[in-house]
Amino acid sequence: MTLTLALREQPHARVWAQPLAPARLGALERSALAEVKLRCGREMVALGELFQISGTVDGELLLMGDLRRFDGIGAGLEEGRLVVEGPCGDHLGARMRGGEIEVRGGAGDWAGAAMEGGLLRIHGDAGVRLGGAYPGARAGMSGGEIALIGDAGEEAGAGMRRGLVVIGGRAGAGAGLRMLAGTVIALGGLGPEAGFGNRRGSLVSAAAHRPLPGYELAASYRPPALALQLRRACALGLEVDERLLKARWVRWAGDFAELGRGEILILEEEGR
Amino acid sequence: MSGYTLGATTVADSFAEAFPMRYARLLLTAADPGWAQEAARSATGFATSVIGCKVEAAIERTLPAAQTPDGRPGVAVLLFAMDRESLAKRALERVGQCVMTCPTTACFDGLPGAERRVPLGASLRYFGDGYQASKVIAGRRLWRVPVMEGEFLVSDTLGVEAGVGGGNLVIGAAEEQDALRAASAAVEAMRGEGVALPFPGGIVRSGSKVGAQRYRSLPASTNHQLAPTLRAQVPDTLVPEGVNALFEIVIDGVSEEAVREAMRRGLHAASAAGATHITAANFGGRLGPYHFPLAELREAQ
Repeated sequence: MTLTLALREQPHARVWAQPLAPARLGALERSALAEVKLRCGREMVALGELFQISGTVDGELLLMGDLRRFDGIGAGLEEGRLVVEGPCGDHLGARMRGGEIEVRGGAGDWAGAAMEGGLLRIHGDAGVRLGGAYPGARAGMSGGEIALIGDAGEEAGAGMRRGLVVIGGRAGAGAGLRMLAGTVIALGGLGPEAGFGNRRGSLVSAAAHRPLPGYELAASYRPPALALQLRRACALGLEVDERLLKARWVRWAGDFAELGRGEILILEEEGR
Repeated sequence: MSGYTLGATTVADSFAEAFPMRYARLLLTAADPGWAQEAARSATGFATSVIGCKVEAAIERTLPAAQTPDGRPGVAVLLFAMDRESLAKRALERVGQCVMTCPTTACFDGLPGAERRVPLGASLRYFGDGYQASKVIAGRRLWRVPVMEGEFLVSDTLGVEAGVGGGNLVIGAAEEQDALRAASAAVEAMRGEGVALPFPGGIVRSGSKVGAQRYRSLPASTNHQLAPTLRAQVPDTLVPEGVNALFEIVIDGVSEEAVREAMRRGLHAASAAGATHITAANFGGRLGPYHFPLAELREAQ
């Protein structure tokens, strides 16, 4: 039976929940489990005070409740599966390196920030800098996959170096800001000013989008890699219209204010 | 000659002798089945024997769109060589010259789980002259090489596994057309997953032996023991009386079992199609460690 942590009541301050990792908790006896300390505001609070604990870790950890005051859930995760039934706070899966996080609810800001590997799947909306870079860091996400079945806030994929971000809804303004490489797909369309300073990254908009002046129209074609990425998005649980798999996409190359090896692909019927 | 009979077919008490090889599987896809076939035919051309072509290759099977990585019609191709390094060179040449050049194609690795890998797109990407780009999709790196039509998508590496090369059947009859009909039926029955029949139409009429009696520099020469026209002048001929034409089917497989079962299917199909004599080529056990006695293939299963 999966180890389940059901939230008793809302904490009085924000909680840093990074210690809630399946591998770490799975190595503990039940008595020790309840005594795991989490930072809650200026205090350290025992896990047993915050959550009702049941089951045992079988590689999976289930968190239940409204966890919007819990930051850093799954941050730095390396293995195992973490499922959250409810919304999460900020820094969900930040710097995660492996394993899988599935959230059946929304996520706050910095979800998947500086992520290095693994899979982050969110059935809801996410805040700003999804898969983005932390302030001062040149590179953001450097590996792994993020599947967001909802809308993303501003600057999704900012500074991204590698990996795949698929947004089922719309991406907020500034997606792919100073992107180094990697792919951000917005099935509901990209917001304004996408791809500013993009070096080699790929931004994809399945809705009308007006690229920044640093982009030049190249061609209309069927990108074979995009078809594979869209199929991958299907496998990750996103609803991808069959027509997108066979559609032509308009390629805009840029940002010529930077290296200019990046691209924005816009669904042809929307792209000219 | 001892052996057994299968209907009207005499099956010799012989065995096929095979040897270890390394193989890779290419999954070639294209906008339609025709172009996928064109790419596969081109990539497997001039690849009948490692003796002269440095690689043995054949179409393994056609793949419906639902079974390919990009959801387009495809063809699986098997390439066999004597070692991994050689296989890497041959795969690179063939994908570069025959697949990348073919309209609408993409090339994927058919052995993604293989531990041993050789570069493919990792080398071919330089054709992109700096404009190439890579994408990692589901943990597999692919290269996007810009071409006049759009982009050629190719797997970064190819998996390589140990296979078996040189399984064979020799099918004969009194009349050439009867022997060819029987051999063709055998080919039809043998083709399938895990098997490559690298010769034209799967059939070779110029079966060879290792080395030569007269010309020491030759790596291979005609199998004089199985040449009907030499029957009267070769003391140790293996051509039975009344047999005037023989065809060989050479089988490379992904495993010993794949070769054995292909031989079994082929033997029974050839017998049913009118072969009067079936044997197998071997070199007294000196060529390779895999032996496939025809006696073990008696049951059709």
